[in-house]
Amino acid sequence: MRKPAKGAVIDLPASVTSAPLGQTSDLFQLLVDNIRDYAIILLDPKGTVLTWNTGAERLKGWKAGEIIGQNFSRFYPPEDLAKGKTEMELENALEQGRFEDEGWRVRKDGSRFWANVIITPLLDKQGELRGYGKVTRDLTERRKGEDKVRKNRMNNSNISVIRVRDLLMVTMPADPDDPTISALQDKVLTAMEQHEAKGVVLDISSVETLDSFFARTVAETAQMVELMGGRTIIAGMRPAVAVTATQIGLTFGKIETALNVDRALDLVANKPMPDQQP
Amino acid sequence: MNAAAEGEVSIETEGDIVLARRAVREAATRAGFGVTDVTRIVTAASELARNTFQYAGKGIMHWRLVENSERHGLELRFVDKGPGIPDVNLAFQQGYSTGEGLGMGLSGTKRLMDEMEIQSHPGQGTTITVKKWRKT
Repeated sequence: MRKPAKGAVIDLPASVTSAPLGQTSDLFQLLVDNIRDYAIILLDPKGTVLTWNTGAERLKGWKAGEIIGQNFSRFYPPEDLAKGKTEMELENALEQGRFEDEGWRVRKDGSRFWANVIITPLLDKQGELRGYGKVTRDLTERRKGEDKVRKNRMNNSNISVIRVRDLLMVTMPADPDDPTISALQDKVLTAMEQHEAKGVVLDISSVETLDSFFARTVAETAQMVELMGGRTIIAGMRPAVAVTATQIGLTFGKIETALNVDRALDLVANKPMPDQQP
Repeated sequence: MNAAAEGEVSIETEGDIVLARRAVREAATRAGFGVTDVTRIVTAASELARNTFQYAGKGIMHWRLVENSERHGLELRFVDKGPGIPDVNLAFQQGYSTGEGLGMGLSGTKRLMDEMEIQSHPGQGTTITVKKWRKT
């Protein structure tokens, strides 16, 4: 394979489309060679690496001379090889006309990157398989960003506090992490003050696990609400959660409970909030 | 693909407590436990994972499906190299707490599970193993 001088600039002539075939395919070769952000390689029908471009070297770390002639399974982590992933990818590409995947791939130095891979089978005019084209992009940075978003979503954003008349409706997510649980107190007390609310309905109908840390936070929050002249009703505890909480010895002291949010609102209607009592 | 019969979750951050709960919920559900038992097991896992994180800083939770001649069950093992528990018997008493829990952690966990064993050596670490058997 020809290696053009590093940083070669490709000047596309205006007549490129009408240029003789040899000239355009040379230009095309230059284009592929010089693309830095994509690894573009050719494989033979068995997956042996035939060509290597600048992008492949940049992404995967091997120089052309080190990798041409080897099987493309070198790019895959051992757990994928154990599952026969490389053979499966070529088979799928041939059957479907195209194969796309996102996953971990391995560099020459053993480090991993998150890759988007597209494999296309290359058939000649007789329909005979001549090899595969493989285009790989490094999506590690994008994935890091997504992980961050996912983590944030898992956390605080999940407690919702809505004011309904003089009540706060607080909804807990199904499986909150400890920082989210810790944030409950702050959120509720801040909202109590801001909205001059008279009470809190804490909807835990989504909650699947109520352990001692969670229960303690709820109990303490209710105590603070009481100190601020409010009242707390826990609504919607699931039966399995209630059984478990009782067995473990958790008690909520004076906090009222209701089967669901509707019943909690009934409770409030039948018994006015503390400072409205005579 | 065959479902895994064992697995592990490393506990190094608060977020890992959530991951431990999820892994145990999935394993217990797949092992055929009913919703109340799943909740008991996950709650126990949550107490023990937090225990590991709070007292040892980090550790590992191993889970595996177990069986004896009569029953199938799930075993959870929490291993850390933390300071250890000075008096295991005392730690089991309800209300005992050196941290921020309700003091329900270990005693409550014991009531949720069928078997519980603590091996602890001061300065070397703690291994807590709990088991729950499926009712047949």
